[in-house]
Amino acid sequence: MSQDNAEFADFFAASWDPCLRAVAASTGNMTLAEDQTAEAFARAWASWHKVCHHPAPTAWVVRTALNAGASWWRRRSRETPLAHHDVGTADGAGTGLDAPLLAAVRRLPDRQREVIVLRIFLDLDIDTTARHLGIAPGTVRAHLSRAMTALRSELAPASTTEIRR
Amino acid sequence: MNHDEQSNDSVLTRELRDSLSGLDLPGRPPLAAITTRGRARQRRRLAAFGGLGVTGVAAGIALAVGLTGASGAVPALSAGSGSAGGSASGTGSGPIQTAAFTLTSNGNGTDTLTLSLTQMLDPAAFQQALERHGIPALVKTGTFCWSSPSPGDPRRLGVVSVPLPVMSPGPGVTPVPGGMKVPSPDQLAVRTRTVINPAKVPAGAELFFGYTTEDRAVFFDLISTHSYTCGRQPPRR
Repeated sequence: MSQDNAEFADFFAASWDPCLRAVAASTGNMTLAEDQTAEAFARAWASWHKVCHHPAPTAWVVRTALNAGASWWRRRSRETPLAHHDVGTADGAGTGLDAPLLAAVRRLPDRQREVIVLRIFLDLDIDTTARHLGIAPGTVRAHLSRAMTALRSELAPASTTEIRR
Repeated sequence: MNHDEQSNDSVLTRELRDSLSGLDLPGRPPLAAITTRGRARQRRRLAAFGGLGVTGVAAGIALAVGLTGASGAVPALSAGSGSAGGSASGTGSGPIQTAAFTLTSNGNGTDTLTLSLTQMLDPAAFQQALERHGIPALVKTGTFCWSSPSPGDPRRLGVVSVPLPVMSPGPGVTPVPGGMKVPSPDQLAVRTRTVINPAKVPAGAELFFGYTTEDRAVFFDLISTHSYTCGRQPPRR
């Protein structure tokens, strides 16, 4: 195994679960997330010489997976009016994806959701999140603040109970 | 941000991370599945740059490599009197099993096709397998072919039927009375048994199978053997 392949193997072993969790939480569909994440890792492998220098390769994988999913749905709706056949849209039950908090994250505006995924799900710092999204660190903080406010307001009873304990 | 908001945010952050760590994840696929998929992608891109057809490149992808797909299961690769690994060479109509499909004779003139698509479908191997089973067919990747006028609806003519699921249907696939619900335009359902009756193919017609690499889906239709049109999108019905 070459050094590149060994590096990718280490990255894959360490990052598969976090990336799949982030993609699944964003899409709400474990089957689709698994396929999108595999596709994103395949693309990362094919472009590893570039991806390995990315400030946050896991963020690259997650974003690539989500973009692959978005284009999948766009193509699907444009070209083929098919029934939901191989890939379902609601397989969250039993996997934990139907948790109210994750469902609330999926209802956030795109940019706020991206910030939540990168900053909280992938535990990237503000600067790395900002570099990855191509926005200023202050903008990341603003999106994060708005997202947290929105989540708090959606889940007010549960959070309040938690804090009073 | 005041102290209460900071406290709320840290609680919320912890709850978010707890929700995430509580997800029930399927197993990690083998590295080989990822690298092979990546390699196939590289080949497709090279083919596109080099002006080669995608079909020719896909045909070069060996089916003998075991991969996992969404289900995470490693598919068996075997062939009865057919070929090993699914290259579908030789003669006879023995069962042919590859990582992408299984084709078996039912002994009554019909054949059962089961798509697994845990690996990219090799159109050349698929077409060879169909030919070996006496099923007149045209298989293409990334394109859809149809005839106008159409030789007929393959399901109504009894050429193709999808009676029962054989594997776990999987999320989003709901068995319905009388068989699986097949969408229109016709898409072969993954993880179900599709029965093909070549005797019902009208004279001068053949089955068309169109494989989309990105969706990993297979569409089918009847076309006139010597008169058909192909395009990048399936015809609307």
